[in-house]
Amino acid sequence: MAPFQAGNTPQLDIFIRGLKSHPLEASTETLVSLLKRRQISGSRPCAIAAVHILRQVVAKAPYRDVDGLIAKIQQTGQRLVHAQPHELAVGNIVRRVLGLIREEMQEDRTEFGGDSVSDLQTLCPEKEKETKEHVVGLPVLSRAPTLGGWSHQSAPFSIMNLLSPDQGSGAGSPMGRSGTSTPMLHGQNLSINNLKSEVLDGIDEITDELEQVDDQIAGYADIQIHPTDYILVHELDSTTERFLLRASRERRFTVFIAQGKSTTSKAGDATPSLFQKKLNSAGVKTINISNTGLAAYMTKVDKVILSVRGVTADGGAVAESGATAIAQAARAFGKPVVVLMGMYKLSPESTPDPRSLVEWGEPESFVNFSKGNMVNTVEVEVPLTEFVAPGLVDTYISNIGVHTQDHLPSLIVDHYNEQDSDFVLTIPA
Amino acid sequence: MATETNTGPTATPDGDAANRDAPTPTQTPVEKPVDDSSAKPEQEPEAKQDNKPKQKQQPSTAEAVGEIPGSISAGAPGSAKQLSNAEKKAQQKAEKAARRAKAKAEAPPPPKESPDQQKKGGRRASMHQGSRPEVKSGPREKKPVIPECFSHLSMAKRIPPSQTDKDVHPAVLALGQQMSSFSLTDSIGRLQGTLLALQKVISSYTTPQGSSFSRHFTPHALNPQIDYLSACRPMCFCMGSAVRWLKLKISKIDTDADDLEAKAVLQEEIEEFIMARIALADASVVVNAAEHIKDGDEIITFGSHRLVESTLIWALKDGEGKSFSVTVVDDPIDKSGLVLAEKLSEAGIKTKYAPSLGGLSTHILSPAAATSTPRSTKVLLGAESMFSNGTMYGRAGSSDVALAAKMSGIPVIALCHSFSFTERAATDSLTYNEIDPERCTDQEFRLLFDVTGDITTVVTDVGNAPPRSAMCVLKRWEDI
Repeated sequence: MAPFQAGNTPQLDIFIRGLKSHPLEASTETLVSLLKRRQISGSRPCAIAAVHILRQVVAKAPYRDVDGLIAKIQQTGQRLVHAQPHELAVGNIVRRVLGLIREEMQEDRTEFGGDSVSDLQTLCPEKEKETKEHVVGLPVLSRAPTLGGWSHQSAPFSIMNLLSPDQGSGAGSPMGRSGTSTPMLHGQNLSINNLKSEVLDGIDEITDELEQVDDQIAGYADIQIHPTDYILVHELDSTTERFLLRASRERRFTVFIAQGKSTTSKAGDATPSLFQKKLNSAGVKTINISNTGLAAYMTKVDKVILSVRGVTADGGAVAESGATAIAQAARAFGKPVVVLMGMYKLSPESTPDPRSLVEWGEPESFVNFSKGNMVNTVEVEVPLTEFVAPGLVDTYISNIGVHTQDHLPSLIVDHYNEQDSDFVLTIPA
Repeated sequence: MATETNTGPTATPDGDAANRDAPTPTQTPVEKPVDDSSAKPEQEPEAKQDNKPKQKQQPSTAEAVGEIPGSISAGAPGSAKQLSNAEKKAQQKAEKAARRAKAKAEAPPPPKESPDQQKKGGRRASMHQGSRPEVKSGPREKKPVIPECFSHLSMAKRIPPSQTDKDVHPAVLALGQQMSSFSLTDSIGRLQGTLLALQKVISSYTTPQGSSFSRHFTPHALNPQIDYLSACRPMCFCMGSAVRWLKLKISKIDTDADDLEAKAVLQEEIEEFIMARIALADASVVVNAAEHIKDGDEIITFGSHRLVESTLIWALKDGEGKSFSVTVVDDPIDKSGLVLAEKLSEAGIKTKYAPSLGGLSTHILSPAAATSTPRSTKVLLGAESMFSNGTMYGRAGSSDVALAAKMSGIPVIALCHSFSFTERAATDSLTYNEIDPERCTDQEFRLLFDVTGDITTVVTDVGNAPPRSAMCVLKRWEDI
């Protein structure tokens, strides 16, 4: 864990170090307030924090069975998501962990033999209807009723499944199923311990993935960046930096770094960042551009790389404000827009109103109270993030490959369990 | 050319050096041209010393500049090639003086440079050699670093008053400082300032004996001013056109006309120009543009432009008292829109302020969530200039706003004086542009303008026009 913590905010490091010594509830509470206060911010730090706390939930929280565990994860996940609703990565990580548990649970169950499975299958349709209005997270032993569903969990709604008989009643309401309670006793303790260690292993894999994701994405750098290219990047994050650094090993190109923020005009930005020094020493030119609009540079630019906070299922990207203008300019000038996203940024949600994902900043840095008449009469809108419409992005590069917009749904199916897609809403807080 | 005859006899190198060391008040009228020819090189290198790439650009920013080197070189070499000993003496003197008083040294650099230059013959090369030591001694420490791909663009530069040509009129000097410090930025304001300053130059000018106003004024009194102004900041297109217009007027003055007569004609011409092409044009652009604003409009504007400001206020108050609201989108770096937003809200217009382009497409231009009506109905942009191919030269960021509006299907209206139309064509923003001198370091780079092709209508003082018909607007004024 050491290597990727190096770049973390101190708050995140302190939090992770304190996890073992503090009780679970205290840690959760700490994390919630850290997220609320934006002391942990940025999609990767948030994702890392979420993974760690969820690991603690799996390891420490009291639960008697799988559904209990799922409920615990859901509760904790919900608190985290409410603490930082704009950071899609938090919800994504919670869903990943939930999906992991469901997968392990299903594997365990198949290990226990086929007879119980067939029993369940016959029981499930009526049971499900009866218990549909049950509170989903009841700490009662529950088994997933339709094993057919579990075995196909990566693609529960494919056409194949629709026609399979054991899916019949379940297909219409897959989200409500997890609450079904079925008495099931044998192999219980063994199973839960097994499952716990399996899940912990799985979570560690997610942690590893978070650690490696930048490197894996950077692996595609020299394919995408050509010699003498002019690359425009907007709001550098660790992924983009790594990507460009990797490309600089083999290519000589020029990077335009767009920094449309007003902070750049203040004194104190005289020294180049470590990242820029590294790029420069590798022979890559960097030019910091302080313009707010970048259409002027588009004729020169060969490729636009956007750092994003999250990607929705339909391919829209939540990015720093100003990204839409850049993407539009790139579209108008026919330049490709590349989004770099670790899989933890890809959310199974697709938001009908993208405005809900926008994070607003305080206007005081632009209009402060010394301008009394403006405070009263002028409405100042300062969006910190922005939703880049799906059609504006040409290519998504993730740690598992290069994708187009049409490819994203299948990635989502591979990574998340459909039952968890709206876990935030299914359980009242 | 008239200079040569004048300078030939008087301006022997000895006389030249002597004049500087101990100015003799006797030959005042004749002296002027002498100073002129020897002092110009001093000023030009300053204009170029810091910024080599600029040289290439200069002819394109203003034809006026291009004409000058010719006139100077005609006068200079003939007068000074004759002597070599005096050259060395003058050089040594100059170096000493420069060491002693760098700041005060108005006189020392010229003797040093002019011989230097004359020796070499090659004008530009020698200028750089001569000026280099000065650069190092100058007060400016940070040297602008222009990335290679933008090295063809020009940049404003502060020239310390101590380093300016002494032929530069005080009024022009002050104007140049205002321009290079960006306290006077908008193109029409600069145009007006230039014309007013040139009026003062004209009134304080006396034609030397043996020459006529129309022949002597342009190369010896007007060109140094223009040189200086364009060195302070590259001239905007309308300034270039105005200078051309003025030179044409000067050339039309009868060679036999006496000073008083000639001056009176020019003063009147300039006054008329300011009245017709600036003041009246302002008013008609505003009235024409205000007609585009309808009740209930939601108008977007970018940054601050005086035409946009007057149009909005006219539409609210003096016009028909229309009710509309305005969103001022701003560039967070220069924040000029903030002032506009303040003025508009004080005037009683419902105003919103967006400090950057963030959220422009998603929140300002696009339909609000609940209703399907677009949140904004029109975009008003102030143009710096219009190119003949129908593209608009505007403050950096305008093209992003226009683009976003076009993508949302919202009309973009550009406001521009017909006099700001230029016969040049620019298809992209890097053809003509200016670098922000305050943000040109190895850590920052910023362009001041951009070029937009997404204009729906151009409102000018001669009416509305589709952008493609820019050439027609231009033709209309050609005969004047």
